[in-house]
Formats: sequence, C-alpha cells, structure tokens
Amino acid sequence: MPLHILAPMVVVGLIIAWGAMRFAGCSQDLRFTTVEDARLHWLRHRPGAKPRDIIVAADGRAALVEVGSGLWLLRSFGIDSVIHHLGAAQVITVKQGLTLTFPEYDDPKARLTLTPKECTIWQARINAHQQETRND
Amino acid sequence: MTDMLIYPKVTDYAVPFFILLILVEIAWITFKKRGGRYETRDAMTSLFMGVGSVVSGILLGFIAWNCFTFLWWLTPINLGASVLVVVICFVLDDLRYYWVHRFGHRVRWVWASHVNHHSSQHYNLTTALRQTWTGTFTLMMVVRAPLILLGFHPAMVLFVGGVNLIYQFWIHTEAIDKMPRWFEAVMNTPSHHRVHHGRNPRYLDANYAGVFIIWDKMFGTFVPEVQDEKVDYGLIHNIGTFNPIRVAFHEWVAIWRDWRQPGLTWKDRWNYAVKPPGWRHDGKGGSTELLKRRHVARNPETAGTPGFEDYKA
Repeated sequence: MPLHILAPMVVVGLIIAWGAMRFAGCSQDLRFTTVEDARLHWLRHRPGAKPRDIIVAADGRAALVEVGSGLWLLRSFGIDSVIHHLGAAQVITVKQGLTLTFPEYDDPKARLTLTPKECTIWQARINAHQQETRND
Repeated sequence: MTDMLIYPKVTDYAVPFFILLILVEIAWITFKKRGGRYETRDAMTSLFMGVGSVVSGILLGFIAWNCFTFLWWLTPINLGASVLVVVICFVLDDLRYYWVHRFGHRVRWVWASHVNHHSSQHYNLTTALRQTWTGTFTLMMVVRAPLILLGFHPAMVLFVGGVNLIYQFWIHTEAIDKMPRWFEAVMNTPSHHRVHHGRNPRYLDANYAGVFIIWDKMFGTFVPEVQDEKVDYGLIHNIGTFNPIRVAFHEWVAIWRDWRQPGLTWKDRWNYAVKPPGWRHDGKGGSTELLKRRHVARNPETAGTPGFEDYKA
C-alpha cells in the first residue's frame, strides 16, 4: 500500500481509537482504597513476600510497603500498579509531595502527591531504609 | 535463482481491519461490561509501538531482504509458486516462527527485542500491535535461511510470515472464551495465547505457537488455560513507563548495564546475552524454573498439574 495512503489512515485510526477510549471512560487511575487493597496489589507483584507494614498515601495513588527484602513503593500506573525497590531511589521534595528517581531505564521517575505530614514520614522511612542498606 | 515474484504486503492492507476490530472490541467491552480491559495510555503505547515497528521495517527491512536474495541466488532449487508450495511454505514458516519465538523467551538477546510485546498488563487487540522495533538486531532472520535454501522464494517466505502475523492479531483478546474443540486442538486460539501472555508461574514459557498449536504439543511446551486460575498479564517485573522509546529499548539498556558491571569475565558477558532472562553471574537471578519451584513450594497442591508437571511438592 502506498505510504501516502497508509500514513494518513494510521493517523486517523490512532485519533479515532484514542477518542473511543476517552469516550468509554478508559482513562481513570487506580486508587488503593484501603491497606488491604494495597496488600492485594502488592501480592500480585510479589506473591511470596508478605508485607510487614503498609502505609497508603491519602490520595490512594501510592503506598510504602515494607517486606523482608526492604522498603518498596507500590504505585498506581494507569488502572494497574507497579512496584519499585527504594534502596537506590533519589528523593526530592517538591511542592506537591515527593519526586522519586530510580536507576532503572524502564521506570525512571515517580511523582507522588503527599500531604506535608506524609512527606515527612515517607522521607524519613526511605532515608532510614537507605541508611540500613548502606550499613549492611 | 534470480527470478522475480511479487506478493502484496498483506500487513499494510490489514491495517483498516485492525482499527475496525479494535473499535468493535472497545464497544463490546464497554457495553457488555466483560471480555477484557482497556486503558487509554496503555493502548496508545501499544499502537505507537505498532507504528514504530512498521517504520523500523521500512528503514531496516533491506538488511533481511538482501540476505534472503543472496541465499536465493545461491540455491539451485526453485519450488515454484503453486498454491500447494505456498501452503507448505506457510506451515514450515509457522514451525520457524515457533522456534524464533521460543528463542525470544529463552535467549536474552532475542528477549530484548520481544519483551516489549509482553510489557502491557492488559490483553486486548492493541496488545497484538505492541511489536518490536529491534527485531533486525537479534539476527533471527537466519532461522528463515533453510526455507530459502530449500527453494521457497524470499517474497513468498515474507508473504506467509505476514499472513502468520495477521492470524495472530485476533487471538489477542479476552472477548472470546474458547473456540470449538477441534479448533482448539490444532490451532492457536485466544485461550492458548492468553496463557502465553501470563506472568503466573503456571503459565511461564508456554504456548509459543503462531498459527498451529500442534508445535507446542510436539515439543512439550503446551499448557492449557486452567479455568480456576485467571491469567495475570505482563512481565515478572512490570515496567513503569508508557514512553514507547523506553518500552522499545529498556531490555537492551539493561543488557548494556549488566555488561558494564565491574569484575565480569567475558564469559559472564556472553552469558548475560545468551542465557534466559533473569540469569545473573552471581547466581542471584530468578529463572522460570526457580519461580515455578517456589510456587509449588508455597502451593503444594499444584504439583503435577498443567504447567507444573515436572515439579514435586
């Protein structure tokens, strides 16, 4: 098929598909409604690692999860979730909360919306965990 | 052999049907409230990966084509272009697909290219289009060489490969449960391919087939979809980006970073490229076998069931 037909067809197709998904309500974010909800999401990622402690952010988009292997972030990713180990994360305080930068190319940054009180607690937990990791 | 043979580029002609069927699937899921899930950013990432794959084919396709025409020039055999020859070529090319796909999951260098197809946590028709941009770099084109040396024209080999890819589009759906029994026995189906996209230990490294599921049954990699274990889609460690460039290249970057670790031997570096994904030189990596073993240890009742036939509690 000639490129001058294929290319516009693809562009129009992408726009129509995007519009259809917006119309169908496919653009919502996952929220962890309770600690139990966050625990179930965590266990989906790491079935063998039972959490010792979970703190869910007030906006429900992220949770700190402590397991035997250390401290992890569970965060909303579209209507799904992803996890990050926090051992090597760089933490920066911003107006809305915290920005975490990870060394992984496939998961470079997480922007967390946290209350000032949450910010203090989360940063302290992450710093303590990183200090322990360095001491080990 | 130097004769000309021209076939239509079937994947291009399939594009409008792909778009139409995606819209039908979105409508079906929206109105029926079942049959899968769509997430806008995830689906758009998949579609951009599909576009990028076509662009990559336009830019790099000449490399494979020149290799194939060289082999065609070398071979003294020409099987012609009858319908029977095309059908035989299609079946043999599907066997070729099975092995390339199996290498794609068991050899990290090839996985680096194929991983993006599995990087969505969703399973819908857009997932089918989440295709690689870097297939040329895997050098898996060499697996097509025997077909051409056997006398199948390069254009025919690429044509049947395109038909194979089009067949695989419709099986990327949760909207279809099971096909008739005879069809499930011979052909790759949505049910069989859902298993292939699963990250559940039971479903890891199974059902590599393109069109005919018989290859998995012949080579011992077939696992049926188990009714009471819903497939969980995605990777063992899911990626946290919708950026198509990061999706396309993340495993290549990971290989590069593994190679640059201090204190590695050249054998370690070789192994980081050719061993299965998850291998580590310090023995701390997580292989499919380890994940299955741990799962059976946690759930002893699953020992000996599909996907765990070789594992004891």
